[in-house]
Amino acid sequence: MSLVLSRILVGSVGALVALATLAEETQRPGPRAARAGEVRHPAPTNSVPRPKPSEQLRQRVAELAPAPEGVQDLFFDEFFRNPVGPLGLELTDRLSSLQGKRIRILGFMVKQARSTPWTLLLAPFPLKTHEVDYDLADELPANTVRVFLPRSSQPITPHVPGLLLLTGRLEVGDREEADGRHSVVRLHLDAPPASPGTASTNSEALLAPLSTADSIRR
Amino acid sequence: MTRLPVRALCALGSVAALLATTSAVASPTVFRLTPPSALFSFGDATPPIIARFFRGQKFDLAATLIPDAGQTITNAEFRVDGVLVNVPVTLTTADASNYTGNTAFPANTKQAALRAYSNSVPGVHTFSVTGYQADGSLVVASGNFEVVGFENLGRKAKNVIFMFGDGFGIAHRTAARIMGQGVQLGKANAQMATDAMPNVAIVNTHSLNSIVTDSAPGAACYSTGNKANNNQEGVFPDDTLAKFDNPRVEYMASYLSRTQGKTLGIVTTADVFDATPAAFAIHTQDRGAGSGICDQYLDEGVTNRGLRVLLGGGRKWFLPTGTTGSARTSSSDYTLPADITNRWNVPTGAVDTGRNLISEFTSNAGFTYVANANELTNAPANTSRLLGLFSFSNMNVAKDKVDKRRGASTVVDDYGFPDQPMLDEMTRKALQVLSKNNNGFTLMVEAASIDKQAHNMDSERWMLDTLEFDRAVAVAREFGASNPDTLVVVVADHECAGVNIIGASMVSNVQLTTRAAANLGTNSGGLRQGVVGTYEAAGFPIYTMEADGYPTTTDPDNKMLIGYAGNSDRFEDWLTNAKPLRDSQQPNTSTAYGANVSTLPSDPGRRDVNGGYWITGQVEGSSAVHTASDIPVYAEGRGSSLFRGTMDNTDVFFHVMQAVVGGAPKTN
Repeated sequence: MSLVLSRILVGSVGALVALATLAEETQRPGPRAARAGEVRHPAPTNSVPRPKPSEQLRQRVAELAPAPEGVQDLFFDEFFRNPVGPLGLELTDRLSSLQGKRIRILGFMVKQARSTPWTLLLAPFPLKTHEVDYDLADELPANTVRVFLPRSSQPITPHVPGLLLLTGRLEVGDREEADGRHSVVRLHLDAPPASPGTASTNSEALLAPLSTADSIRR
Repeated sequence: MTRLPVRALCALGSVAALLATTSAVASPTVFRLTPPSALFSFGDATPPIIARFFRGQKFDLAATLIPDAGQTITNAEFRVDGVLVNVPVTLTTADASNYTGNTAFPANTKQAALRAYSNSVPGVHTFSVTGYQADGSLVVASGNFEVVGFENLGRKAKNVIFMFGDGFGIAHRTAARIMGQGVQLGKANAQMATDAMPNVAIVNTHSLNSIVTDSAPGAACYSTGNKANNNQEGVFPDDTLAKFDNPRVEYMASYLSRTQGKTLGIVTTADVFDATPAAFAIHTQDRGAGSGICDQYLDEGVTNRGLRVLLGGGRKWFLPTGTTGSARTSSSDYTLPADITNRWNVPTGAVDTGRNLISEFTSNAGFTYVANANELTNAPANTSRLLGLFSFSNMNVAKDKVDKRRGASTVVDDYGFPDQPMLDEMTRKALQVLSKNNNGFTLMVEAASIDKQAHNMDSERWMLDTLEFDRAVAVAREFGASNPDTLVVVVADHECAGVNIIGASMVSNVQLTTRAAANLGTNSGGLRQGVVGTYEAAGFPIYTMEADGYPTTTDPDNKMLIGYAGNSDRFEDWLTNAKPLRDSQQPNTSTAYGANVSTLPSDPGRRDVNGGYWITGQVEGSSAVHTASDIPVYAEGRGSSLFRGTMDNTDVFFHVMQAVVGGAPKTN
């Protein structure tokens, strides 16, 4: 596990707070330059078991300041009942109970080839989509959260690698969006702060390398 | 031998191609003439003839006509052997070509189509298009196609079972045999079910636009007898962006349904919209158009192709928008132009993301719906139409299903589908349903994840899927033994990943596990030197098999080692991967297995890292690729004697049609 310093992002999603983050599995361990006469490649030298990413997400949230009053933490693995029944996915009681309420959630901003204005997608792990080449035939999980940004922000948010902690009002229920994608869980971000230091949008960008998962043609 | 240089030279320039075959009487030009032919492309009328059709098989004639600047194309006519085909020709605007860099055509470029033509006279036929321009000038271009007849050679095959190992090359089956049967003193201890089939041939797998096919044309060549571009199934290329309007080629199932009353079954471990299953029933240039593909299973499949069994994954396409988990989208749905609906006698379709396909299959078309293995097993014996959707996307692979059945919690729990059937169980039930039709049937059974796990370079997972496939082959052969008018064909669309067996480990599993954590790469004590045993150092790996047909462990001492010629970058530690690579299309529902789907590695560069053995691949990305290698075809039963020698993949279609329509000499 390595720590890298994050940066402060200001703009489209409101005030952002600098934090440190986990490189976790999103850090693809590629080869390093070999020493003279050496041909081996590096790998993490973990002598103790690493926490699993979902545990990391929960730990990371636990390390943060408690959610503000009236805001509940929500995790991606709390969305659907398991096992799946004979037809569609079923929402958990917890997710249903949060309909219309304010929540905060930690996840990865999907890197989209073609973004929808004032919208971003938040996934439980790093993902890229290839709308230009493959239209909507990409590999987004059903629990991808569609995040609606305040209209006062920039229409297109540049991709932010790493973890984002977002707070807003939750909306639940499957529907087809104008851009053709389905959404089940939607998050309407809090409005940006009226002035610096009074942030109501609790969006914290944590740097971590983006997944390089490529589209696979079968 | 002079033909190849001619085609090769002409292929160097498209202008040459046009000049070679286009009349000089006018300026308008013919950009594309369908069916594809070397006569049109290269001015070469000699064999091999590119497009071939069984006697009476329907197909579309089409041409893309480019007018002079400021002019319009007003009409087009098609002639076959100089005789006008008296069927209306429709003109639509050609908006762009997907295969020429998305370059827009000149204004008023038209695509002319004459739908559902057929010809029953065997032999090579020359056909032409005449395009008329508003100023009275015209253009003529010619191509050719062949109609393949049949001979009355004996008793006819009543049933055809295509056993389809996606990506199933020679080495995949060798590895499965070594694992499943064992080799001692140089001989396999026993044959696999596939090995025991009496007739074998070698198949070339190229597609219309590449030496390396993908699964769409790689499968459709067997069901249509024709080549297509990669990503396309049941169609020829065209010059519109619409996904479902391409020139069609009639499927074997349609032909046999309308001429003999046969029915169709499609069974796959993939999402049912995936390329291989769809290539037996769906006409589209976009293998990814899931909503339209699954709609057509019902709209055309049931009525026009006799579809009676559809089993696999992909439930997300069958749920209406508004139901959680639905993947139905407007952009992947379909409608058809009037000329297709009228001439092919099929519904128009609709962009209807609110459509409840499961409900329509059951309520309107009389299908029994099953959602898991238990329901599949308990489907009544008198079931005559069966829909089974066992996961939201691709089904889980054999290793993870088997481990779950042995009592371990695996990714099948995490994805939320703990009770998925094995392919042999699906095959057995499909045969039970289809055999109720006295006129016979065509069944396609696909082991999809031989390919998908070879892409992932997950050796043990594709090996177990190959074992699962072989057990399904055994079920098909068992049916054929008791129903002798059945032809069983085991085939693949292509080889995947350049798989081969490079030898075996020279160390015990304990030692290998130690090395896999030592971060020594190729150094002494690492994962190459002293581990990779070649030639006699490989010896004979021994796997112990359980009663369920799968190995006790896939990590025995001195285990078999696999290399990949079509590989991307990866780490390798030779050990079985405890978890598969992440499939982000699956519901991410549970904390039951390893905490979360998020814990699954996303690509082969993120697993096996602790051994430090980095293998640089020849291809970009994070996935191994298909190769152009030939694949074998095995056949047994009525008509199987037709399968011998080396053949083009489209030849398989014509051999099957000969067996079904004309019969074949008695064979074993």
